[in-house]
Formats: sequence, structure tokens, C-alpha cells
Amino acid sequence: MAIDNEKIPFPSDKEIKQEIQKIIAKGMNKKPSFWQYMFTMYREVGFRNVFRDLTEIAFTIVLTIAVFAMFVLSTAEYFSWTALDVYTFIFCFSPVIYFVIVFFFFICQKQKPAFEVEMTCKYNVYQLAAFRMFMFSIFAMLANGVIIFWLATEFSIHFPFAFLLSVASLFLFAAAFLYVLLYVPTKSGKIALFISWIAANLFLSYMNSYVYQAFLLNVPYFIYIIIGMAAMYIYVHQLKLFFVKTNIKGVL
Amino acid sequence: MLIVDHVSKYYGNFIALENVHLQFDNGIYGLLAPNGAGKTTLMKMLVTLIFPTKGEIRYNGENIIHLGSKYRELLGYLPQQFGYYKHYTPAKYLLYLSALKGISKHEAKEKIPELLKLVGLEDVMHKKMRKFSGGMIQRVGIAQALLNDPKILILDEPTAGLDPTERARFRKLLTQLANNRIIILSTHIVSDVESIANEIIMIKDKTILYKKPIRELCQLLSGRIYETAADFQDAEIFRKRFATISEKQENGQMIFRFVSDEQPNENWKSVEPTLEDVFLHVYGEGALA
Ligand SMILES: Nc1ncnc2c1ncn2[C@@H]1O[C@H](COP(=O)(O)OP(=O)(O)O)[C@@H](O)[C@H]1O
Ligand SMILES: [Mg+2]
Repeated sequence: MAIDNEKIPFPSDKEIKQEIQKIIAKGMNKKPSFWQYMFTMYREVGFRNVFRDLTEIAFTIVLTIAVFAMFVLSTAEYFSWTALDVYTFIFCFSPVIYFVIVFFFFICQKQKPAFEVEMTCKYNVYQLAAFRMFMFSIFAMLANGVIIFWLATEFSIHFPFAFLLSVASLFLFAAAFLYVLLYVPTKSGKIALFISWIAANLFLSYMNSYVYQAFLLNVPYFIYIIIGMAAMYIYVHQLKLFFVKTNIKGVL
Repeated sequence: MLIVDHVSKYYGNFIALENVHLQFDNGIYGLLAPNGAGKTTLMKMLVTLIFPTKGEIRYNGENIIHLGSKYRELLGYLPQQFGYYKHYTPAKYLLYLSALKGISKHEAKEKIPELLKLVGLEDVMHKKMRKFSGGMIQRVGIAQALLNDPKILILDEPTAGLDPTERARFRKLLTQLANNRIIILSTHIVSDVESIANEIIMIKDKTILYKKPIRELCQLLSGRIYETAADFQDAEIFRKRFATISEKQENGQMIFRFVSDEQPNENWKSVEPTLEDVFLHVYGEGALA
């Protein structure tokens, strides 16, 4: 634009309109909360569209649980599991169902032929992913509950404690997983987290089982509640990033 | 108003676009450039599929990346390769995308048959897309882009795979839609945009060469286009001696057109430049610009 000292620059009608729109947009720009967003999304998109691959997901879950049950039953014959072993097992393996579903879901996303169109819709792949992951975590929590309930009939474990342990472990893992999802671009990074979670837990329990189990068991209830809540909070906080960001490098 | 503010896009070390500056108001814009010029790159940035390496794109003064879903809500996009689910029917696919676009089921159920009729697919709306021709898929893609009555419609080579009748119908459709939205379509075919675009945008050497109404583009070559007829046997001589920009057959003769600052001889007559002349002059083998 040429500088002209003679003329007082006055905005054109178009510019005035534009500026007004800008101000209105700024004024209206209250970000909806996570829960509001989830609810609006549920209302506008609906469960059916959020879980289009429901049969595949169900299949994955059944398969996971079957593998689990086999594993538990077969080892139960060789070792006489103590209640402590079962608690260790629960803490270590609670995130498995969650990991399998979410990982499976991300692999499916990437292979979607309509990825480009879906990415440019109001609710794009990331928002759907956040919604689904949230639902998956709730689902995994309940599925774990069922498994633990069954374990409690087989072994002499205390159900509420075992369940709490499982919830804390699930959300700790889920929060860590989201962190990797957001900041580590490679697929191997995600698998590495999962493997190292299992490995670290097993390593700790076998190498130093006394201290590990003492730690698991001597931590009082309310600490687990706090850990569980904190993990959930971090988890939800990170899920929010999926709503805010339009595109996250490396997630897919 | 949509503003592309000094945007560059690099793919690693490769420069796809450099310092692109554009402004869009309501109307039809034809992004006309040969393959590989960067049309898709620009359009992907406009729909937030990829981000500018430098600069930013603003809608009504706000960065579109920050607007997020508020921006995408206003968007209709047809990618160059329109992906679809083979086992879906157009009606079902559009219903699914309506949900992602936040359109109520009730509204979608009314809108979908209308749109599919508009693109001439009403008879097959409940047929699986598996057996659809390229042109039919493309028309599903066009219908899909219109679902949310977008304020910004971005169409990447929308006429690919359409036959001449479908192309004509498509152009008519766009002119009907044009008055209260921004429509940007890319093509490397001059006739796609010649009759409908308010402005033509040409990309050359990784940046915007022109953004002008067709009339003004043609004026650039005003008085410099010459035409002459020649027999077939002389054609080769012509091609060697003059930097012809186009040639066609007419009544058993060859008609040559070329650009020159002055009339070479009496047999060449001065003609009105067309958009095709401009395109060929800019991108042709003997391109001077
Ligand atoms: N993801 C990518 N990585 C590297 N180079 C790319 C990528 N996408 C496009 N290009 C290059 O950028 C240039 C412009 O491509 P594109 O925008 O697709 O052009 P057009 O749509 O005009 O044909 C081409 O040279 C192409 O090879
Ligand atoms: Mg392209």
C-alpha cells in the first residue's frame, strides 16, 4: 500500500465489516469444556458413527480376553498363584485391553481411503479419536472389572482393592500412551511404551518381588485413589489436546 | 474473506510453493496451472490438511489453524483423489459424512437426495459404489462437498473423469452456487474455468504469477496474437520458423497461432487473445514469462 500523507486513511465498508466480525468472533470465543464437547459430539455424531468398526472391535476384545483367560488358566496349573501374584498380574496387565483396542483403531484410521475428506470435516479424525479413546478407556475399565471379578472367584483376592489397582494402572498407562501419541512420532515408540510397561513391571516383580509386592500392597487405599484420579486427570487433559489441535504431527 | 498471507510450503528440502499471497472474496476462482505446479499443495493448506512452512492463512482475520473445527464447519472439500468405501451406497456415505460435519440426521435425510439429484445420481443412490465409474465417484465427491452448504468450497480437479455433458452440468452448478461463497477450483484444463471463473490464478515457478479476471489476462496479450492458415505440407516449416503456441485442423488446413510483438507478414492476421493463448504462452514450450 502506498503511503499518502495527503489522505487520511479511512477503512472501506468491507474493512469495517471485517473488523466488526473479528471483534464479535473474539467476544464469542469461549472454548467449550471437555465434557461439553464430548456431549455435543455424542449428540451430533452419535455412537453409530463413532464406532463404525464395532464388529471388528468386539472381535479384538473377545480375542484379547480369550488369550488372557488361556494364559491365566494355563499358568495356574503350573504355579500355585498367590494372591500377591494375582495383584501383580492385575497391575501389569490391566492396560492390555485398552492398548490393543486403541492401537488397532489407529492402524484402521491410517488405512481409511476417505482420510482426507474426514480430516476436513467439523469433527475430524482427531476428535473422533479422542472420543473413542475415552470410551475405550471406560470400556477397558469395565472389562477389567469383569476379569477381576472372575479372578476373585478363583483366587483369594480382595475385589475392591484389585479393581482400584487395575483402574490406577489403566489410567497411568493410558496417560503415558497419550503422551507418546502426542510427542513421539513413530509407531515403534507406541509399541515400545507398551512393551516397556509390561517388561518393567515383570522385571520388578521377578527380580525383587518382595519389595515390589510390598510396595504394591503397602500403599494404602487412598493413595491408589489419588493415583487413579491423578492419572485420569492427566489423561483427560491430554485428550483435550486432540480437540484443540487441528493436526498433530505423527499421531497417524 | 480468506487471506493467504505470504505462505511458503517446503516438503523437507523441496520447495513446493514460495511466498504465495492471495485474497479471496465470494466468487469463483480458477486455479489454472499444469501438473506439479503446486495446486494441490495450496489447496491442502487451505483445508488445513497440511500447514504452511512460512506465513499463515486467515479467515476473517483469524488463523485457520487456530479456528480449527469452527473453520472446518464452513468448509467443503473435494480432494484430488476422492476416497470412498466400496461397500457403501452414496446415500449411506453421505449420511456418515453428514454426522462428521455435525449435520443433524433429520436435516441430512432431506438434503442428501436433493444433492444426489443435483449431480445426477438419484437413480443409484442406494447402489453400492463398488461398480461406479470414475465420473460417478467424482460426482459423489462433489455432492459430499456441498453437504454443509459450505462458505468455502475447495475443489481439487473436480472435472477429472467427467464427460463433456457432466462437465457442462458441473459448471452450471457452480455458477448457481457462486454468489454467497468462495469457490476455488483447480484444473489444468482451460475450458473448465474459461466461462465461469471470476478470476484466474496462475502458479508458475512456485509462486503466483497472475490473479486476474479472464478479460484482464487476455489483455496482456492483446494485439500480440496472430493466426494463419497453412497447408499440411508446410506445417513443419512453420513449426520450425515460428514459436507457435497452438495449432489445430480446420477444413483440411492447419491453423497456427503464435505470439509476436509485431506482425511478421501480411498473411498473419491479428486475433483476439483467448485464455488458452495465455495459458499456452505462460506454460508452453517456448514460454517467455
Ligand atoms: N508429500 C510430498 N512430499 C514431497 N513432495 C511433494 C509432496 N506433495 C507434493 N510434492 C511435490 O510438490 C510439487 C507440487 O505438487 P502438487 O501440489 O501436487 O501439484 P499439482 O496439484 O499442481 O499437480 C510437485 O513437484 C510434487 O512432486
Ligand atoms: Mg494436484
